[in-house]
Amino acid sequence: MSVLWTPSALEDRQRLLDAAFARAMDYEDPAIYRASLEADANMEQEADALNGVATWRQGPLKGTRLYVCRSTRHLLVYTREGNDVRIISLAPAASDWKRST
Amino acid sequence: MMQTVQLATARELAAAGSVHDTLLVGQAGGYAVTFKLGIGERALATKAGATRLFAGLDAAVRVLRRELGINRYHVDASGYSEPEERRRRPDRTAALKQSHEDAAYAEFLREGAAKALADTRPPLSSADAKAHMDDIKARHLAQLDEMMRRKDRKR
Repeated sequence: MSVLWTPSALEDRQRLLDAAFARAMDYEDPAIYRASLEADANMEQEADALNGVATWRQGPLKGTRLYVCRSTRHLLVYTREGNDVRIISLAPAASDWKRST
Repeated sequence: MMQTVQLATARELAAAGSVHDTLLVGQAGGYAVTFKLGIGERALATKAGATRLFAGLDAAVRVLRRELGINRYHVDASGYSEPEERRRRPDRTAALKQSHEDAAYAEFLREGAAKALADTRPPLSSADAKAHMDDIKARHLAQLDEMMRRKDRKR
């Protein structure tokens, strides 16, 4: 049982942190970044538990699955072979999509 | 209020030759269609049973010709007045907009997933991924600390 992160998915996570970091610097308010750190940690924890998930939703492409994060408004797109999970990308929830693009 | 007849029934009546005359009656905002039948006059109804109002003669004639095969009719435009503003279906407009947005979002997800799947770089284990992200976070936090120290010195 393992969870792997593709570089693309990690870059998605980094993009979120970079954006929060830039906002925190602009507003001179580290609390903005700390909130983002907490969200990332929660997302990481949820992703690491995906290899135990029995039910799943069909992902955007054949062979992919979708997980809606409970702690943040993001979706994880992943594949699964046996008990091996590979997180391939991270996307904002539909409600936040326009704001983030 | 005049009794009404559904389109399907009107079609059967027209096919049976029971429609003696057809009149397009102008009203405020459009035209109603009335039929003279053996049993009296009936107005063409909406699905909900109300008198169906066509925005213009063209629309009414189109239904008469295509749906009912009626090519002879009279027009009484004496009561007609143009609608104050074009009728809209805000519910349908919103639904269509939502539908387009949903499709665009689904495409965005597909593109993102396809791009990620095409990435041939090796994935990182959960522990390595955590270490990688922790490095980034530590770098950011150090810069934020430095920014706050500079801010304090300015005071």
